[in-house]
Amino acid sequence: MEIKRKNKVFIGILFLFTLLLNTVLFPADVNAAEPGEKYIIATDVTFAPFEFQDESGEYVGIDVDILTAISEDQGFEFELRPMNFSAGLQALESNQVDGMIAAMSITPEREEAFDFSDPYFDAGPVMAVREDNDEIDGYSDLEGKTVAVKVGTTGAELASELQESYDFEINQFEDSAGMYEDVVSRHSDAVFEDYPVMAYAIQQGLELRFPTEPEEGDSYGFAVNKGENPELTEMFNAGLVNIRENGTYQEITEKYLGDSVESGQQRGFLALVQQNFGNLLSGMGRTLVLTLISFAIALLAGTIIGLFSATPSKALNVIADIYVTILRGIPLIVLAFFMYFTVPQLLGVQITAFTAGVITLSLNTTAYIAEQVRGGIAAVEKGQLEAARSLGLPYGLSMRKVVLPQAIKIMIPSLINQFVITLKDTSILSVIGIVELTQTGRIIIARNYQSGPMWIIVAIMYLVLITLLTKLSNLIERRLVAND
Amino acid sequence: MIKLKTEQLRKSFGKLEVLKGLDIEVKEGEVVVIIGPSGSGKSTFLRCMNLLEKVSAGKVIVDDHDLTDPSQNINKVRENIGMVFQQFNLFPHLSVTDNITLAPKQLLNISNSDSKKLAMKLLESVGMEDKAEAYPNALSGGQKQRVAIARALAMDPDIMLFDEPTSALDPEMVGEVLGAMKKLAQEGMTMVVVTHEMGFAREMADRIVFMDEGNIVEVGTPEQIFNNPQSERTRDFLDKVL
Repeated sequence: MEIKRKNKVFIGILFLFTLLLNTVLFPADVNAAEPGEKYIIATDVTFAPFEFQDESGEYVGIDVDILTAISEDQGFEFELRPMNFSAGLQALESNQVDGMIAAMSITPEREEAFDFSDPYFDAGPVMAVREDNDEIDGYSDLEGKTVAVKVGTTGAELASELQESYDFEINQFEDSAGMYEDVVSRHSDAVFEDYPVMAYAIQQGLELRFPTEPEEGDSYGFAVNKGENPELTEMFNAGLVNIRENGTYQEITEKYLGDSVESGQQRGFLALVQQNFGNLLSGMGRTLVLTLISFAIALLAGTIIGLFSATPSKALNVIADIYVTILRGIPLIVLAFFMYFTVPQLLGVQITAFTAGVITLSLNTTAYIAEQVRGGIAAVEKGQLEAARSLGLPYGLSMRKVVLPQAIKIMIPSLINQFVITLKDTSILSVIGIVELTQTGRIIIARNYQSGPMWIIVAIMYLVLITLLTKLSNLIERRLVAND
Repeated sequence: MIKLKTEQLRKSFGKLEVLKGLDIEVKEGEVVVIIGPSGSGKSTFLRCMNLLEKVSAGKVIVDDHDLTDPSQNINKVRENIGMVFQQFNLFPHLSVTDNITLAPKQLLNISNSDSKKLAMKLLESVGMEDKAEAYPNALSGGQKQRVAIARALAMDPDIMLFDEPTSALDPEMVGEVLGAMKKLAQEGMTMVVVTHEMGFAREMADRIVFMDEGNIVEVGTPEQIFNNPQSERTRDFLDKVL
């Protein structure tokens, strides 16, 4: 029938338009660094004293300062991209970044995947326990206990070697602060971590002690992906020699590890908020922007997919069904990793974490909105479409003028609900290094080790944001429904 | 002149055949009333006449256009066939006036003021002009159905289909709707009406079609059907409802 054909064309055009919109909104930013250009360098977000944010939100630490000194010495520019350690490794492997400096031990396994610079810091892992723990004085006391480690670190390797001799449980963490908190809050009995990191944390007021001496040190190196950016390691090595000779290197390590380190952290709830207000606010801002962009895209795409499943066309129904089944069946965190690490490797393009985050969240939310649109349309009585069609109105026009206005009213409460879910889901995107509200909280905790009050503050901020937005949406809903 | 005709019309839902090869001819200005027990296929038959129900086999011909021909622009034909539903199916998000003017505005490109005038004229014809700005939810069943009749007339059709227009109404409201239908019939509208209102059938029908189990059992004038039914089944049915 002619109407049906027209509909297919119309929907096809819409589909193409969305694709186009996608490419315009998310251009693959090809910033593979060439000599003289800015290098993208991955680092850990939570590894004081090597890399952490100071109160003004600037990244500082031994790694950051050394890299800065070397870049000034060698005359190259870099942009720091903080992300979880294991995410950083994957980013380097998939050429999302040009190099990585993150207190990374040079190990034979890693040397298979990456090219390392000369060692710039010697450190070994050490075991720590709670200050008041007098049960554990050596590795043998770990029998039957629980140990906290950070995924992919040499501390974790040491722990799993020791596990073969002494039977203990291992708790895996993504960041140092979480791992420390696990010990302080008595979930774990001991923690393995590089000595300088933990020494710094204890100086900052962390209530841990070392029952044993640090292990023979691994060396930290600056890494690039195998065979990529060889000039970067050359410059790093040359610069390292220079800053060691001119005393800059010693100044930097003294600054973070010497006795002069002072605990500048004020304790207390209000002080915490006051000190970190700017960071928290910008984290919340990013959460909001992520949500709004992703939800807007998902609203458009979800409506189209939802209409696909409502049309009489079997082909379109199947397309919608496949989309919803796949996207609803993949956990958001897996989709985020897939978008950020796998897709760039498959397509050979670089995308920023923010772009990957927006795509991830839009794709996921689209599936849910499509289902709500389908449900909303199905909830409109069949007689409405029949009455419109019997007047001679074509299918598309009948949907637009008669069915959809009624379906939208039915959908509004569940759309508001979806909006709140999407907003909260942005926190999951912290795993690919987007500094939204949750990640901001983590970064602050990595600096001051006050996870207790910090998570309360973050929770309250989410609550306030969501409550305000829900009230606003309800107001809009009442407006819309009032026309009845 | 024949306005509407079906030839060997068949309709199946899955394996169940509900219309078993129906032939009917409706002449211009004629009022045909279809009666029969529930489940006899009356409503399905009516809904096939404007292809709201897909036809499994056979033809539906309206003004020489074969609706079952895939190249036929069905929307254009439907403009000429008004339909009134048992459940009214007014658009709840639109005012009474907007319910009526939606199709003319979208399809005929007429101005706002012209469409308003048209709506008022149609509302006056069904006695609903004082509810022009009301929303459907504020109307009684009888009022809703009268607005629905006005809406079905908005595209100025030659044929009107009525699908049990009074079955969902409280008894005291049946009269007002039948009144509007009678007026329409007297003005010469070609009408096909599925109804249980035997009074209306007797008074207004030019011909009555009695259906049972997907077949047309008997066709005749009210006089023939009510006073001298030829078929046993017709007699049985009339005994029960009269």
